[in-house]
Amino acid sequence: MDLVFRHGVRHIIAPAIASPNMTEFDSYRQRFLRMVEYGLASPTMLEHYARLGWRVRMTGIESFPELQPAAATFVRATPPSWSHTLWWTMTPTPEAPWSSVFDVIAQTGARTRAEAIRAIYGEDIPPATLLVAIGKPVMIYDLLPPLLVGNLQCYWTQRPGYRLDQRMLRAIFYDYAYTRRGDSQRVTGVEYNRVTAQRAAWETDAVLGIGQRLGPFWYPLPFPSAGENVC
Amino acid sequence: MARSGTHCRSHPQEKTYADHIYPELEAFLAAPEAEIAKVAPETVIAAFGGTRRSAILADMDPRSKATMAWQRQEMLRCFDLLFRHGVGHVISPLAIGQHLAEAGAARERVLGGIGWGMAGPEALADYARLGWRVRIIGIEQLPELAPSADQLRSSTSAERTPTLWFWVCADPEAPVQAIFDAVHRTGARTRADLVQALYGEDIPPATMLLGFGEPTFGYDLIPPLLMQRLEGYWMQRPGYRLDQPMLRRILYDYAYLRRTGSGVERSERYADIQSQRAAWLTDWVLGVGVEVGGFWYPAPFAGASEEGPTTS
Repeated sequence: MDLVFRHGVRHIIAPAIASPNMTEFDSYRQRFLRMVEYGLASPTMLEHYARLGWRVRMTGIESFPELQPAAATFVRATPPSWSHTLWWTMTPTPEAPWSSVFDVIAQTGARTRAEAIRAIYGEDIPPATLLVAIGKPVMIYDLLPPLLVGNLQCYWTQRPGYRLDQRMLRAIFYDYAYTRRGDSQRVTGVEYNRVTAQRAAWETDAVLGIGQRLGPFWYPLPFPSAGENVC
Repeated sequence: MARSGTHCRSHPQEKTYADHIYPELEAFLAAPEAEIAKVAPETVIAAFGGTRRSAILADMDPRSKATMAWQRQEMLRCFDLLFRHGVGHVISPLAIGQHLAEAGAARERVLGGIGWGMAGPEALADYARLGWRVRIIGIEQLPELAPSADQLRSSTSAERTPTLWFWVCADPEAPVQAIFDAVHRTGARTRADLVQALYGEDIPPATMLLGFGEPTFGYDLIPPLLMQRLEGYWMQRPGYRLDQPMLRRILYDYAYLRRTGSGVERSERYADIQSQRAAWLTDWVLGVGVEVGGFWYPAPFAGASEEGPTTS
């Protein structure tokens, strides 16, 4: 996360609890929530946040009263000046992300996305435009708070855990900032005239998202180079 | 077709990743449509794109009426392929906002063309022949399409499935605002009630996205209340060029390969991790691309191998 903040990102929205966790750990909820609390808000972590000057907040704790002390601790520990905010999200059920929006609308009378964001998060938050996740290309509201989603460019690393490095992050940012944004600006009649020379690339039967089993896990299938496919 | 809340067979928990509990790919590719229908998603968002490139590759003028007619037929062929494989609802987003932004003063002509494509005489005849119910959703900010929406309601099948839902969105903010307006107008407080209020019935949420090009997410592409856990797949063939082998490989991955399971007992799942180290340390990222002739294209990936993956 520090790597992402140091590259200019101001808000990181990260799932601390996703709905599948609650299904999986329902029988020992209390122990699981203590682990979450320790993982996010232990004295070591609080010192870490303070040293880095991060503001940290939790959302969705209405369903997790056990975590309200930790949430209050984060508020008290807000640094005097900050430029980065880490939002830990908690999602108890798949329906919760939108249900909480409907509840806020009913309770506060919010009539627009901006009003509801202020009611839920206490401030204006720019919609997210980048998703960096791990593994299978899946989109769920546990990862995508419904009101905080903009025109989202999506990326999935295949390194489990927190193993994003600078080179990978910069490759993602380069694609996000330049390679993906080029079509509408770059493509003219000249580019369309060259399409037939790239026929093999555009006739590939490779599909992003189809995978294979690597042991018990899903793993992406190979994807051919456009250069291999270009006539 | 009866369908439960899950969209694939349940497997014994302790063998959710054992190869013998699901068919071999070759058998699946050759199976009757009725067999594949048992594991197909109930609702798919089918977001094809690159139609201009597709026309050029077919040696056709992208701006001609003949091309428009051809592409409409190809679009129906793709949707028919999905329906024949057991999909009950196809949501087809139309990049209305992009077309209108490009059209400028020709907005009326563009919307007229879109209306013809969705609900003109030729389209209605095709829907009748195919036995489809067809609807347009999202027209709150596009009253010009209301006649087309009315035409489809009165002229297409009354059967619940298969249903083709054209999703029109002039502005990505519009679908979210429509939800707020619906909550205030109706007092609805659940997803099902709001979908009913917005679209006239409770449409089953999509669990598969079949897209084109680079992986993105936005409400102009995905109606906000019509998705659940969405498994994403992106073809790189522009236009309506989905074919049966490709669809079946996608469905196989959706139904079997992605169902890696979880559960509390995890120890045996990690027995071979060290021998797969190179695969799990790859710096390849799904979604990072390269420029091919001015267009985005996925960066190459060698995949997992005994020696470990290599990247571009």
